[in-house]
Order: sequence, then C-alpha cells, then structure tokens
Amino acid sequence: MATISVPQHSIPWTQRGIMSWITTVDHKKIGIIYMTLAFFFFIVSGLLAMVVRLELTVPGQQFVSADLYNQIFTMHATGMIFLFVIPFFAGLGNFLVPLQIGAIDMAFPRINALGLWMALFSGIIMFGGFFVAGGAAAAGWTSYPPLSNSTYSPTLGQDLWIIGLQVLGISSILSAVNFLVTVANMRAPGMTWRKIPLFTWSVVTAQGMVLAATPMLTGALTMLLTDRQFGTRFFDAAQGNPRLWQHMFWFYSHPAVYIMILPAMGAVSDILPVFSRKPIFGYFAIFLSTVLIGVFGFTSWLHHMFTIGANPVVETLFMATTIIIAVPTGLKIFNWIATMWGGSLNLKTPLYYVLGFLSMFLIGGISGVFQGSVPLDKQLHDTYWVVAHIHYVLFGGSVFGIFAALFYWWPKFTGRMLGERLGMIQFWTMFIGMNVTFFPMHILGLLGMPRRYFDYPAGRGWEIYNIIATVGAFLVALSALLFIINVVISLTRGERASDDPWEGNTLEWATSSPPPDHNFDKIPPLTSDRPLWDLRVRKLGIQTKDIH
Amino acid sequence: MALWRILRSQLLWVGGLGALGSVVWPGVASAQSVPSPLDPASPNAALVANLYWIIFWMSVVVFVLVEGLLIYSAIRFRRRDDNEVPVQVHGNNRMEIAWTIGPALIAAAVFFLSWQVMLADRPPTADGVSAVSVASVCFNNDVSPEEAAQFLAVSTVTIEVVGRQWWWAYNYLDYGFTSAADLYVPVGEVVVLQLTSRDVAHSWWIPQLGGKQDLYPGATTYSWFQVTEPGVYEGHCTELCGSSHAYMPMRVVAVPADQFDTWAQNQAAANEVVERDYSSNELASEGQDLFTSKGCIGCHAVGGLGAGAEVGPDLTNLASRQQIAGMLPYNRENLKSWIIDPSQKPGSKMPRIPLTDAEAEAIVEYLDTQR
Repeated sequence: MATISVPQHSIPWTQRGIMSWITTVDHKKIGIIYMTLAFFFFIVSGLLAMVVRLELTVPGQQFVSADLYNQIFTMHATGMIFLFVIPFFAGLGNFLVPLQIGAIDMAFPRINALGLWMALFSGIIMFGGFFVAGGAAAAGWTSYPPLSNSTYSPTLGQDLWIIGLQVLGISSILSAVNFLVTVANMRAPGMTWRKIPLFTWSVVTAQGMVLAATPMLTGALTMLLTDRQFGTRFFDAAQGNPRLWQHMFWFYSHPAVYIMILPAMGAVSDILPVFSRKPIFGYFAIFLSTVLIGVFGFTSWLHHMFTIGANPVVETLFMATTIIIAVPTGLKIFNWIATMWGGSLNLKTPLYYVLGFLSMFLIGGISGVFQGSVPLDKQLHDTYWVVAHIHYVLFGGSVFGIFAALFYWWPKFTGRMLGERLGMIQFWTMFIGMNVTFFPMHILGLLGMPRRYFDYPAGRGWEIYNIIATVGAFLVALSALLFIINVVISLTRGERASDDPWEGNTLEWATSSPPPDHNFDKIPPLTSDRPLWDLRVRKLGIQTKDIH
Repeated sequence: MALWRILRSQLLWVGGLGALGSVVWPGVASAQSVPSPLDPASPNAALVANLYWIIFWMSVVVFVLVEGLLIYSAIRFRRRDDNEVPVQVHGNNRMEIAWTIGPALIAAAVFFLSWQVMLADRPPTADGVSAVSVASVCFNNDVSPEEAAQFLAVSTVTIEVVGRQWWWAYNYLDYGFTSAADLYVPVGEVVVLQLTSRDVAHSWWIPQLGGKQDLYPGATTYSWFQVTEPGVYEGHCTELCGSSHAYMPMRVVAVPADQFDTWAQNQAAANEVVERDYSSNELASEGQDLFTSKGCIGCHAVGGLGAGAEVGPDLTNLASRQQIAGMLPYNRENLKSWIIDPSQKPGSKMPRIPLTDAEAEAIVEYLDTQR
C-alpha cells in the first residue's frame, strides 16, 4: 500500500507503539480497543460465573460467604451486560459501520474516543468495588430499592456501581449520536438506504434504542444516588415509591436486551448470505422486523414486573405487547432459514456459529413466550427458569453471534485467519457446554428453585441438575480458553488473510485486510445491497438466475 | 360471559395433556417435598399448570419444526462443488406473509389462553361478583378500601403476611394472634393473604399454591389460595432481599378445618398467658426466667410473655415448627447451637448473648415446650 516511506524518527511519540492506540481517533483502532476491553470483561465476568457454579454444585456453603456471593452474581451480570455485550457491539459497529457504508471514519472521531475511554473507566469504577471496604455492589444488577438504598446497602461499592453505570450511560449516549449521524451523513455516494448492509441497519436500530432508553437509566441512577447521598425520597417506601425504580430501570433494561441481540441478528443477516451464496431472503422483511423489534422493545417493560401487584388490565396489555414480539422474531428466523434453503452452504466456522445462534436463540425465544404469559410468569419469575431463558438469549444468541462475527471479520481486523480446526473444536465445546449448563436450569426453575441463592436445601431433586450445570460451565470455560489460544496462534503465526477470504458481499471486503487508515482507495459501484457479489459475477461472467 | 365459561372448561380439558406432560416431567413423580408449580394443590395453581402444559406442547411443535428445518438445510444444502451458483431467490412476499401470520396466530392463542386463566384466577366462593372486578381486587395493590372489603368479605380466613429480613410474620386478623415461619391454614377454605414488608422487597411464593406476589414496605398486595389436600407446602422468598435471601423459606401447613380451629383457638389463648406454670419442670421454669432476664423478650414474644415484641419472630409454637431461623431443622441440638451463635445465619440481626451451657440448656428446655 505505502508508496511514501516515512522515516521512523519523524513520527511523534504520541503516534508510535502503544501511544498510537491510546491517542487514536481512528474508528478501526477504537473498535478493536472496544472489543478487546469487552473480551477482557467477558473473561472476568465469566470467572465470577465459575465461582457461582462452584458454590452451587452441592447444597451448603463451600467457597464464598453469602455477602460475597451476592457481590459476585451482581458483578457477573453487570460485567456481562454493560461491559461485555454492549461495548463489544459498540466496538464491532465502530470498526464495521464506516467500512460498510463506504465512509472514511465516524462523524465525530474525538467523541468516539471519549466514549471509549469513558467505558473503560466505568468498568474500573464498578469493578473497583471489589477493592474497597464492604466490597462491590451486592443488590443485583437490577439494584432494586429499598435493598439498594443507604439503609440496606450502605457500602461504597453500591455508590461506585451507580457512578460507574452513569459514566457508561453517558458514553453510550455519545456513541449512539455518533453512529446515527455517521450513517445519516457519511454514506458513500450511491449508498442509498435500501443498500445499507443489514448489520449496519441493526446497529442503527440498536443505537436509536440506546439514545431513547439510556437517559431513563442515567436519570434513575441519579435519583438513586441522591436518595443515598443527599436525602431525597424518590424511592422511599413512605414518601416515594420503590416500584418507580423498577419502571425506570426496565424502561431502559428491556430495550437493552434488544440492544444486545439486534447487532448479533444483524451479523447473522450479513454472514448467512455470504456462506449460502444467495441474497438474504426478504431484505425488506428483515429490515422491517429489526425496526419493529426495536419499537416493540419499548412497549413491554412491565413484563419484568408481573409480580409487583400491578393492575390486571395493565398486565394484560403488556402481555399482548410482549407476546407480539414473537412475530417479527419468528419472521426473521424463517427468513434466515429461507436464505439457506436451496443455497450452497460453505460450512466454515462463521456459519457454524450462526447455526448455533439460530438453534439456541430459538430456545430462548420460545421460553420467552412462557414468561410473556402473565399467569405463567407469576410462577416462573425469579426462578432458575429465568436464568436459563436469559442465558439462551444472551449466550445462545448474543455470544454465539459475537463469535460468528469474530470468526467472520477477524481477517478484516487483523489480516490473519483464525484457525479453522481449533475454531470447530471451540464451537462444539461451547455448544455442548452451554446446553449442559443452561438447559437443566429450566427444570430447576420448574422444581421451584429461586435465582440469586448461594445455598439451597437438599432433598428437593435440585442437586443433580446443579451438578450437571457446573460440569457444563467448565466446558464453556474451556471453550473460552480455546478461543484465546486460537487468537494467540493467529496473531503470531496465523495464515495471512486475503482482502476477501469469504467471498463477502459488502463494502468492507473491497479494501485491504486490515484496511488502511483512510479505509478505501476506491469504492466499487454500489449496484445493490451486495456490491461485491455483483462485481464478482460480472468479472467471472457467471449467468445467475434471479427470482425477486 | 358464557363464552368465557366454555373456554375455561375447554382450558381445563386441554390441560389434561398435563397427564402426557408428566411422562416427561421428572418432578411430579419423584418426591412430595419438591415445590413444583407443575404439582398444584390449589385451583389457581392448577389452572396455571394446565396452561403450562398447553404452551409446552405448542412449543415442542415449533421447536421440532424449526430445528428440523435448520438441521435439514445444513445437511441438504451444504456446498458440494466450489463453483456451484444457486438460484438467487431474493424473497417471496406470499411466503413471508404466511410465516408472519402463522406465528401471529400462535401468539394470539397464547395470549387468549393466558387471559382466560387471568380471568379465572379468583376464589371460587366469589360467585356473583364479576370475574374482572374480583381479579382486579386480587391483584391490584391500589384498590379502594370498599372494593377490598367487598372482596375480603367472601374470604374465609384472612392473614396478614409481613416480610422481614429474613423471616415471615403472620397476623391472623380473624383470630387476633401472630405467628411465624409455618403458616397454618384450613384445607378447603379460601385463604386470602394481605402482604406487606417492614424493610426491603420480598416475594411470597408457594409454587404448588399459585404464582408469586411481591411484598413492599408501605403498600399492601394480595394473594389467595385454597388448599385441596392436607400437607406441608414449601416455598422460598423470590425477591433478592440481602445476605440471607436464601434462608427465608416459607411453609404452608394445611390441616383439616376442625383441627385448624382448635389450633387457632389454642394460639389465641396462649396470648393470654404471660408466665406459664412450670412447677413440674424446674429446668423449663429456669429457662422462662432467663428468657426475660437475658433480654430475649425485647425482640421475641412467647404467648403473652414479651407480648407486642416484633423485632424477631413470635415463638409461641416454636417447638412444632419444622425449622429454626429458616436454615436448621428443628431439634434441641440445633436450637441450642442457634441460641449460642446466631451469627451462623449471614447478616443475622439476633445478637450473640453470652450464655453458659447450663443457661442455654434451660432456655432450650423452655422453648421446646412451646407447641
């Protein structure tokens, strides 16, 4: 690429080595730092989950005290949701969105860097709780008052959790604005809305949700902080209302589920056509269902609160708005299967992870319908059934989506391939491991085992399922280790990747791997939502039969 | 209304699939002590269990269909020739509309069946009051006192349940006494619970007797059940409430109605007795004195002794309870170990009071007579 050779010493120290990463405003580097950071918190929060599984293997207290256990599961969920899945997709979007729309960078590169470093510091603040007196926050990631108020959670860790999450909230809002402005204004000439890759559409939808939902969370956090520190009574039982927090929290946190799953669905919608050698089945339907899921995501928060004693008419309405989400979701799944149908499936690691996503997310979607039903939810709420459900959605869905994206776009990130064989072994370890871990939890919930318990009585038939789940957790941990090994091998002596190793469809594959600072030397003609496919077909002189 | 009744009876009938379900269900067959919502012992819980099995079998169909299509596609359409170019199908509006309507119909069915269960979830003695208004009284914490009175008038036993960190207090409003830990109720009668909390949020859940209901300080929520068979029905607090959240079980002891009346009258009568006569049991008599002199009565009431104390659980029928402090099986050794060292329960608010072995023995002897 380089035509001009610049002598080393003329590059200022701020742009060399590690400093070039710390001071960068380049969307690709920022994206990679986001994803690395997210992966670090995935490992940390995963280790916390291993402590949870170890403690629960048999009845009785073995490894950690009740208080420490409460801190551990609180920070496990906080880390996985706020510091792994959400920042990972912020990073993936950062790297890919400008490339997919043919832009040179994000619209506001410095704000982009600010958002990144705020996210890092929010993680340090929240996890810093483990190193102060009284330990980290222990009121659950939901942090319901009165338990989270200054009377029942007087520790500094709870305040650090609130402040850290506020910092992260502001970081999220900044980057949401940045994404939306970027896609609105920075598209290459000819990149009409109809040609925007579906991954970018999913990021636009998810970031729109971030912009609309996150201020409610940061507002609620501010109220909780002033309740704790300055004597306000927003969530006070006598003069305020503890349930107000739940409404505000879930008004953010239900959309947050879609913020965490839509980009995974977007990645699937980009990867499936490439590995099927077919266009996505119903581009408009997939786009529309993405937006509909985004809209419905805002109308169903009360389904997390069916046991608070709300008016049954209101419960009935929220039951309807909850169950209806199954319709656009079902549409997506059928369209994805139709994309594969009659295709030429290239069964490589990215497609395996996509198939893992489809088959596991389906289970999470189905168990979600059970919880959408008010009478059933009153039985299933806050039991291990719910733990099973969220992990089929967030692990089976988001995490499989993340690994699909990693294996697919890794050559573009690094210029090297990840090991295919090791990737397969990792896939099967992870796939089997997650099912062994989380499937028995459905049964535990139906046997009446509540969540967030550090100890449980013997003789209820709960023991065997807890043992199975712990065994599965070790398989999942092993799969994470295999991925780290794969990364190390790839970065040190991995096979060099071509610019377009998968026969990609979208613009990011039209530039070098990794892309140069300015992204593109030349943007190919944007003939459809698959410009590179069109180019390849023309170049090779292939006659295709198209059915619209 | 007639349509609803028919549908509701249909719901119960289709719920017979539950019989099929229990073939694959490990919980119901195994043990009595499993607190499973799929092993109901109250009509409201039975409706929900039926609903579960209906939606379960619908799910099995969807699951098999979709996973089958996925696996079939992955095998059937795998790449056989590196140069093959499949037909480029960009979509098909008719098919997409079809698989939008299909899931929409399933979703509508789930909604409608669940709604029917919500309407039917009401005490059977409330006939004549419209299902909707009873349901709203049952579940709405913001009802007017008149509405509540109208509803509560049809109930047989009304008990106020108070959640505390980390135990349950039961105020038998019709009888004027307080109990804790084990909730005695009559079989076959409608029991209405008025739920509130004195500290953080808790959640009341006896899976076999219906769905859970949260408790909040400064508010009252309602729940009800009608136990069909005598027995002990166990449950657990299901809203994170602090260090000993895991040690906050609840237990419903359902006894025949006449036994319940006798029990309730005995408990009410015990409230009148401040000092029991232990002339034949010197150790218990000493324990009774120690219970006062060591300050136990500051927090616990035993019948009329320490009456009004509600910092800790009422101990009037302690010796007939199944557990101590929600974590130890009731027996004399455990009781003694608990009195000597309450810090074995995480976050326990009971102070450690210095006691000699003999003093602890005496208090145990005294408490062990409280039935």
